[in-house]
Amino acid sequence: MKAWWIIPNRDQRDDILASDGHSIRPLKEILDPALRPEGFSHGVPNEILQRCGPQAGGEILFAQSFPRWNGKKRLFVISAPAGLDSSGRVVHLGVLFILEPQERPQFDLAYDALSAEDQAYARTLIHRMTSREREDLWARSVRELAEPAPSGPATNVALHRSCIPFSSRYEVKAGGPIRKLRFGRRRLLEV
Amino acid sequence: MMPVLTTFRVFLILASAPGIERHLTRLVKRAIDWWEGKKIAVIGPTAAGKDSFLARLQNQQIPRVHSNSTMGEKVKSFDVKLALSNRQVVDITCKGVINIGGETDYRDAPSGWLAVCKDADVVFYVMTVNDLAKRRFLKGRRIRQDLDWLQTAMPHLKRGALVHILINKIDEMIESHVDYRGLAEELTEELGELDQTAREVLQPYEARYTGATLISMKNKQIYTRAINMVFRAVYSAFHEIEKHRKVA
Repeated sequence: MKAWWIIPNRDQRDDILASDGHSIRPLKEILDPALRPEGFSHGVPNEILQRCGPQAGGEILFAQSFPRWNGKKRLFVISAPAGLDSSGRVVHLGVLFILEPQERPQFDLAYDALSAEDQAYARTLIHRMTSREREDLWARSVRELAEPAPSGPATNVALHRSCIPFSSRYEVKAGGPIRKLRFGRRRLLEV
Repeated sequence: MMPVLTTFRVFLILASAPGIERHLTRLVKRAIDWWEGKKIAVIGPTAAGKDSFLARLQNQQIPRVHSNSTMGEKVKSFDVKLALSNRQVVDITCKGVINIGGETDYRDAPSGWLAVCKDADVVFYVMTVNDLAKRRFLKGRRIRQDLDWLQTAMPHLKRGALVHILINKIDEMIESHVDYRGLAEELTEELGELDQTAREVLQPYEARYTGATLISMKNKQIYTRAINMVFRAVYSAFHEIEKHRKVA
């Protein structure tokens, strides 16, 4: 397993930065943009934020799984809102995992290189992914998605506006709560 | 003493300056007909105003929960309500509008800018007046890199797709100046350089570059005036291309 934090773009830089917890460098040096799978998201999509509204912003966890990425690996990425940038827009903290096909992501991740503000969001994300609190459905949906699966690209919650279709087990209701879809995995795309 | 003018009044004065006014013309009926049902894509650097532009086009307020766009997201077809100078309001339907983040990571990814632009009839590249003032269109700098990217992307776009540059946040520039004549001179020079750079970089597709327009997504009066000009300028470029094609 290899893991990197995708750092919130608070300063509206032209490049997205990433960290292995000890040093920081452009994400493109770690994951070549040309190799990023179709539909790869660098944060929580707008449609999720808009459906949840400002009150539920702190609860959101968005995850994507890309099995059989670049040959035999699995790409798994989790994102969460992480405050605002200099013009008041929501920015996102992410964790990118490159996994073996049957591997699960581990959350014993270093974050020393992150700013104090980002470290707080990193600690929260790790805590939510490891504490197994029953009522945290967002975290549960991510854990379920993290289980090795041979199927195609998937997200923890359904997207309606993505250019690329994803399978999802959960959907977001207006205001932020999520619920499991009754008929298992669905491929949702509405445009 | 300089009279106190509203930002919009200053914009109108700037808009009439030689070198700027040719970017700004009124919309005509044929242009409205041409725009109906067009598919557009919106790209540009981070925080240039892409989401705000889409919100304005849809006659919406900028969303309260506003985020940097993290992936290519489709926006449902919508009617653009354009208030014309004769108090007439016209509806133009835009289909399958797509918006994406501004970091170079999005630009260079296969599902990034190219994926959102490839089916578009018109690609709007949104930058800011600050990018213009800092001449970020010079070689090696961000706007120039994006223009270089556009040049390489052109063969992969829809046949005949047009590109228009929107230079956002002119309101902020106006509000930070008191010498409007000086500002008009600066803008004229900078717009000329940008125009020349865009035409040079986009060769052999320079005919599909339809110009650059000063705009403000925040100031509704400026936006309304400017978007009229944009729609006309894009249509005019299309018309010119068609004319040349028929002659050939």
